[in-house]
Amino acid sequence: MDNQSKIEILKSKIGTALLKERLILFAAGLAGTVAVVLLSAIVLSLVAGMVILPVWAKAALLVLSVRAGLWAFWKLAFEKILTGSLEATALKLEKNFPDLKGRLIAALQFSRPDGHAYAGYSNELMEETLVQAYERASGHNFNEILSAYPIWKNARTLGITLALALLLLFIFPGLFSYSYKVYSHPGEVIAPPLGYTLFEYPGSKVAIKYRDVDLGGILTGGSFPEEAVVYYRFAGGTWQKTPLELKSFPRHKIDTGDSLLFYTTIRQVRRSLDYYIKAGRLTTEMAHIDVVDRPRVTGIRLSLFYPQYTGLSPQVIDENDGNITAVFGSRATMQVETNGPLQKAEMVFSDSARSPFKISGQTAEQSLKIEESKSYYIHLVDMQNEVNPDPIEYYITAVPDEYPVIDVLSPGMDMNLDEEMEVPILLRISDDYGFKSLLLKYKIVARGEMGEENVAVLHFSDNIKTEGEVKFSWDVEPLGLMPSDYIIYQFELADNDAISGPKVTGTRTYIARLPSLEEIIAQTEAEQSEVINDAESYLKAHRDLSERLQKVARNLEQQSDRGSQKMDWQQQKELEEIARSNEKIAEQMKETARKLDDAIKEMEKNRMASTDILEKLNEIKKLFDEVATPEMRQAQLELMEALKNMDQQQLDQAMKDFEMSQQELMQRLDRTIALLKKMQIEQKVNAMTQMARELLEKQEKMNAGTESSKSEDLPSLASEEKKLSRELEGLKEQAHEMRRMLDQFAYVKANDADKFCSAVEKTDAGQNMNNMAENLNQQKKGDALNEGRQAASKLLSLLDQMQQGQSSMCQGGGQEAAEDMRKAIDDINYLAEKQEGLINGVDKVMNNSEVLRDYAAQQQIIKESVTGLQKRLEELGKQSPFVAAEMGNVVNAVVGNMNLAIENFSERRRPQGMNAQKEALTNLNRAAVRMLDALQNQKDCNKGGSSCNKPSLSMNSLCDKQQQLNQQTQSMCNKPGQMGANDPDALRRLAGEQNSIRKTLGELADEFGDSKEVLGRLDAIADEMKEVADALSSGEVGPETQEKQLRILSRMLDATKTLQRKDYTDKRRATAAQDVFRLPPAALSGSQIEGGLDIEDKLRRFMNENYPREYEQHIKAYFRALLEKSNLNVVQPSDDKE
Amino acid sequence: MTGAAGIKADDRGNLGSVKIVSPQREATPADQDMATARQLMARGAFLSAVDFIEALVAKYPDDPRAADLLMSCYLELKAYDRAESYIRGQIENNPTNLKYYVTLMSLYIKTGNDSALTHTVEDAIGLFPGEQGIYGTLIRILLDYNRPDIAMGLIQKARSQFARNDLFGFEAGEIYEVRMDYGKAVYEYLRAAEKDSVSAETADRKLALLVRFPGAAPKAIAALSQYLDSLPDNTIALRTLLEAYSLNGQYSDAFHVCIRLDSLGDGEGRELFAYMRQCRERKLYAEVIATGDYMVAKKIRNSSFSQALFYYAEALTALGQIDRALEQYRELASHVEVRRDRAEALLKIGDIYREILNDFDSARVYYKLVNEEYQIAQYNNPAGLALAQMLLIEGHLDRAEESYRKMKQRTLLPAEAEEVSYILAQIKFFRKEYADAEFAMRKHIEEFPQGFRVNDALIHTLIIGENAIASPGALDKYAEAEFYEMRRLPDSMSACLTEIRNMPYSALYGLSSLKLAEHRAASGDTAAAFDIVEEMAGKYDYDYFYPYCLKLKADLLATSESNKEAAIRIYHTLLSEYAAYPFVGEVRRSLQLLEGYLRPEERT
Repeated sequence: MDNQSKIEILKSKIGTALLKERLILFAAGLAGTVAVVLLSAIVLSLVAGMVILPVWAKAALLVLSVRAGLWAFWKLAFEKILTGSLEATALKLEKNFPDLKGRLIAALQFSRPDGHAYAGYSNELMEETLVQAYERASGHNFNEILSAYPIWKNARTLGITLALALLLLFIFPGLFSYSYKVYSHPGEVIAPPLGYTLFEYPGSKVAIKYRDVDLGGILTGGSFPEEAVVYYRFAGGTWQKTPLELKSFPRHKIDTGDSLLFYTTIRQVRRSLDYYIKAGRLTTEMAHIDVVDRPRVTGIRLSLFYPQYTGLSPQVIDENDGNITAVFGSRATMQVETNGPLQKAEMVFSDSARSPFKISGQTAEQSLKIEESKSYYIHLVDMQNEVNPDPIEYYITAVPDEYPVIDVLSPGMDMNLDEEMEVPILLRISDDYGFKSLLLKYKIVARGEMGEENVAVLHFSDNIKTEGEVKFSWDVEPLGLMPSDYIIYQFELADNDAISGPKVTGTRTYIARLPSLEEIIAQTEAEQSEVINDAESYLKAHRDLSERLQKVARNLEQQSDRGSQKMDWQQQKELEEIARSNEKIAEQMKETARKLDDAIKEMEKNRMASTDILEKLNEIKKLFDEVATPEMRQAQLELMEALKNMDQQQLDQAMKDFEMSQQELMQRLDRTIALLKKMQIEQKVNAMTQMARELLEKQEKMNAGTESSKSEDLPSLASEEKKLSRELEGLKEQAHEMRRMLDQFAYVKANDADKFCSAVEKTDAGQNMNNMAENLNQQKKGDALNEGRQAASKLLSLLDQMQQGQSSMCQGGGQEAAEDMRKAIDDINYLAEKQEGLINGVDKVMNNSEVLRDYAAQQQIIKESVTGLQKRLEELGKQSPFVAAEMGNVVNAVVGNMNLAIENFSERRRPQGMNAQKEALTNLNRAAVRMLDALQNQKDCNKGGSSCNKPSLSMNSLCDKQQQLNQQTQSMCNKPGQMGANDPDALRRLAGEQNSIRKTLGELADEFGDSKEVLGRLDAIADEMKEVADALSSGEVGPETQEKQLRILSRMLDATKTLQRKDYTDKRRATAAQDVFRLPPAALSGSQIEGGLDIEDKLRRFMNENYPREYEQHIKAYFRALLEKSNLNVVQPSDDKE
Repeated sequence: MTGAAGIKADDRGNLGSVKIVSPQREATPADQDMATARQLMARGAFLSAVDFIEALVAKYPDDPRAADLLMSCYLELKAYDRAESYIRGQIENNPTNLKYYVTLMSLYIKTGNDSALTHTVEDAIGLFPGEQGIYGTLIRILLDYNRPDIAMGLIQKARSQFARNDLFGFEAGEIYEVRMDYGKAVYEYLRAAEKDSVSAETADRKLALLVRFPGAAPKAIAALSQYLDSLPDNTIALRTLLEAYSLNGQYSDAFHVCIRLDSLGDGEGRELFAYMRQCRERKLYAEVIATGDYMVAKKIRNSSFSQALFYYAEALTALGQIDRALEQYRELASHVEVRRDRAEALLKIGDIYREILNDFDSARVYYKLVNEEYQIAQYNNPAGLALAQMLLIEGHLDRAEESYRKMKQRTLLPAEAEEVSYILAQIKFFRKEYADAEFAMRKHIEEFPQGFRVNDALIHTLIIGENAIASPGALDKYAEAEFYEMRRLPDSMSACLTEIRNMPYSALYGLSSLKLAEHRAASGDTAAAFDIVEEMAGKYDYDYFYPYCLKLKADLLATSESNKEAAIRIYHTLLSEYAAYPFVGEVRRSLQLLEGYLRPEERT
């Protein structure tokens, strides 16, 4: 056997051993692999048994398990087949058989085909080695190196694993089958079967609003979870959950196991909700709790049917209000809406009576009659047997028919009648169901005797059904009231109650009194006296304050001389007190101004004063308002400020300013008082003249009454005549009073006033009146009439004198004031010219020139003149309220400027002196302009208004003419030898003048338009004028004619006054602007325009008609325009031709 | 800083306005008592107050307020005896407190107890021997209480005691002035002036016033001359003398004094120029010319020489020496270096041709020259206005109006603008467009409230308002008269005014009469002027302008020595019957003049 064979054999032998070894290891590896797989299965089963594996975990576990199995197979079994080699086996054999001693391995190595690697070994050696290896190996059993231990070891592990599996199977019989189920469905979660069931509690149902609801579940069976969760969601809300510990709920044994009810309580549920329960792995289906309200009323609709007599139409009240207020006997139908279907509905009355509703679905209705007032509530029972909770208590009010109501809004109090003789009445009436009648009941109390009751039915607008205001003016003129008479009146309002008869409401009684002129005068005078007294007291108070202030100033000065610069506490307090007093007086002055304003309004109402007086009084009121100027107030504030700051310098200045302001205030107050006193006298004059006029009218009325009375009735007139005599005495007392006023006030027209008073005092008309009364008592009609006529004649004469005095004092005063103002302007002008000349002179003088001192002297001369002007203006200010209050300041400023100029020129300070001069000139100019304004106002006032075109102006002028005519007539009669009744030409001329006046008066009457009051007066005057003119023409001029003329003049003056008042009232009345829409006239048609030929005829025709004068020019302008238009039309064609 | 608790800055921390702040002291019982006393007095309860305060005086003997209050009460109650004894008691207790002496003096002055007053004064002086101040205090008090006699005694006593004749010179001067002893007063003031510069200034003022006092100048001149005899270089005395001579009409003497004064200075004619200027300002043109001649003759050329020449020419013009005046102005226009002076000279030449010679063509040449050659508003505008005015004088209303309207476009001085505005309104008046004229006048018043023409505009407004309807004829004539007056056609103006006077009485009657009378008087026809016044006196003596006419008559009469008495009578009438008229100051002055108190130059 060659070596090759040997080696082959050797290799084969070693290879066999190697293969066997590999097989053993593979077998052992397989056992190990099985063990690993089994163990994995056990682990997986345990995991599946312990937890419910989610899919992902399950998949992961399976993957892991498979990988572990494969890894085990690879590592433990398959890899063993591939492991090992002949050399390794050879080495292992050499190790087991030491005699081989490397020969086996060497033989294998030397037998490698790449033997050159062993080039250093000899073949022999190699062969030898082979041989030896072969040889020695042949003696050994190579299987000895093989061991079954690996198989055993892994089999043991496998056994243990199997035992474990068996054990588990024993313990958890279904463990592997469950595990198989779990892992065989790798895509699903496989859970172990449960031992209980779950139901929601209470399931889907209806719950009542605001009640508690239990939500939960019922578990039956066994193995209940420890916790359950209640999920719920209100309508429109989000899910909420409430976990519940189940062991806290009691279990109950039932046939199929245990039963457990668990729940949570939702308090006062208000909205419907869904819910479901989750317990362990069980979740119930979603259940719904429908929350419903308890039955309740959602709407009430009332239909009221009133008794027919009320005239009220049925009324439907859909206001969800169960209160029923209806007149007794009304029928009410009530319809109730509820929130759900009802079983039952009824009204439960306070007396426990019940009245069922007729139910129809969610609506219930019933009808009832309103007969008594009581309360009730509505009782509802729904399908759940729920009753309406807390039903509202309603009231049924059966309203009885009320009395009508009447309020007298105006006058609402007892009142004095004014010259208008009208009672402005404003009533507010109301009744529940309408009125039947409104009555005015009045009684006249004349001369102390109450007359019979008169009843007047007042008709008012049909629009006033149940309430409204009734406004009307009760003209009491026809009632023939005499001064001191009064009317007692009241209103009665009846309603239309036809069932129990009309109910009547009456107002309290009111009195409308016609005060006597004396009373009005007394009241007016008292009011004005009060204002004057107030003003005088303020003046006195201010004087006191001024003295106190001067004293403090003196003390301070003395202190200053002694070196003390500080004001002590007492002085400070004193100054504060002075300032406070000053402020208080200023407040009081405002109050007095208000009083004056009230008095003016009252005078205006009572027509107690003429227009100019009212205007003047208004101006005085303005002066009163302006007495305390803002500068004075500023001075006071500065004083207070200085006191606060204790700044001596500031205080000194403030005190000076304050003192100056006090002086100015006193001047203004002084002027205001003077004006008020003057006005008081003028008013007195006016009032007395009016008294005389009334007296005359009464006497004439008495004469007429005497003439028409029978003899036996004459004594009844005697007392009236006596009364007239007393009234004349009253007039004389007024004259006495006026004298007293004149004594206390330096009235500029003292002479006129004296004449005026003397005329009143001297008249002996009273004697005639007494005689007449005596004769009336003795029923001597003729004698009485004679005395009466004499009295009237004397009164007329008195009135004439008084009117002349009035004219001189009141109206003439205004003219004089205007003239004085005009003169003052000339004075100012003169001074301004002088000042201007001086300024021009100084302008040429050099600074510091000695000549400046000459100019100081010249300035001094002008200043002296300004001082005179100052006095003149001061006096003028007391005469006329139109002189601006600041005029004094302006002129004071002029004097101040001139003093400054004098001082500067004395010191040869030209620029400063010139500035002062120019300032003086400016102030003079300002004074002139102010005076110009005052003059204009005064002139307007004198004219009786602000416009020159007022009819009153024409009347004034006419009055003057009449007065002149009267004087001429009188002159003729008193000098018969010269130009008296024997001079028919002269008389005819006078008659012509009288006719001329009458004609002008007629024209004026046309212009007065709708002023019926004035027209009436003028008509009467015109008639008398005609009589006078006739008498003059016929030469029958005597005292009678003169008397007539006097009467004419008196009435004309009266009419003038009325007109002035009318103007004044119109002027003062504020009216709101209104949009007035007027449709323009349609355009003239062609034929109308073409008819221009007869336009002139039409114009003539129109002009012959009695259009008011002011329209004439408009009519003329209109026709002129028409003519021009027609001319254009005619001319145009010829233009075209050209 | 007595009494000041501290100094602090104001709230804004402004240290520039530091205030001294006094703490508010709480009222003591004494304060409260005093307040009660004051309240009693304030209410007029002096009797109660006396009792109360007497108790207070006992309670607070050291509180001067109680004493003051008690004194006031006594004086209010006229309880002079008690007051006297009380003050004397106080003097005993406080012998060095001058206040009580002063109070006692006032008490004696009130009661008229002169001897006691003198004794008190002596006592007071005796208390403070050797103290001049006490004399001054007492003298001032005595002068304040109008007791110059005792005050003078005291002054003399002080002078004698302190051996100084210049003591209390001003007080002594015042006393002498009151006594009309002007010579002595001058002496006193001059002596007082030597004290210091402040005194000199006061003395200068007092002397200036003194020499202007009616009738004082002659005595002052005598005293000043006498004073200068001893002190010939005393400038105050010299200046006062110069002034006194001027005021007294002694111009030649004044001129000499002026030369004397000038010689005391640098001799460059400064005093002469000042005198010349002063004479020009007083319209003493003859003196201006005399001084100018002197300066020319002496070849005095100072910095004011060209101005002096202007004055010189102006004086020549004023005195009617037109040729010489024109020569001077032409000299100035051609030789003066200052451009403005040349413009002014040309303007003056134009003015002479326009105002005096009525040679409008020549005037226009100069005005246009000024307008074209000298673009200086100060001269341009007057030239432009003069050109426009000449058109008006020539009767070219439209052209004049246009010129004035053009002038309105220029930048004018306020006075010039006012004049233009007024004349434009006046032109409407001349045209008898009364409504427009009235509107323009009113507008003028609104636009130039401080102007010189406001009063004219205002009066025209009134004239139009009063006469446009009532007396349209008179108003037309008056407008014509004014236009003629503007056109320098006096005869036509007179004719118009006469027509107004011959019409039925209107509001324009008085004014026309006055204007006519003034015109007649100005043209030397005093008889015609008197006739107008007489006629007015007979027919319309109630007219507002009648007293003015009367005054005019008196003024005219006063110019003649033989009619002085008649003038005096009229002036007296005016003073007694028309005292409210604004000319009373002038009338008084005229009366003083006639009675010999006024200086002659015021008679012109």
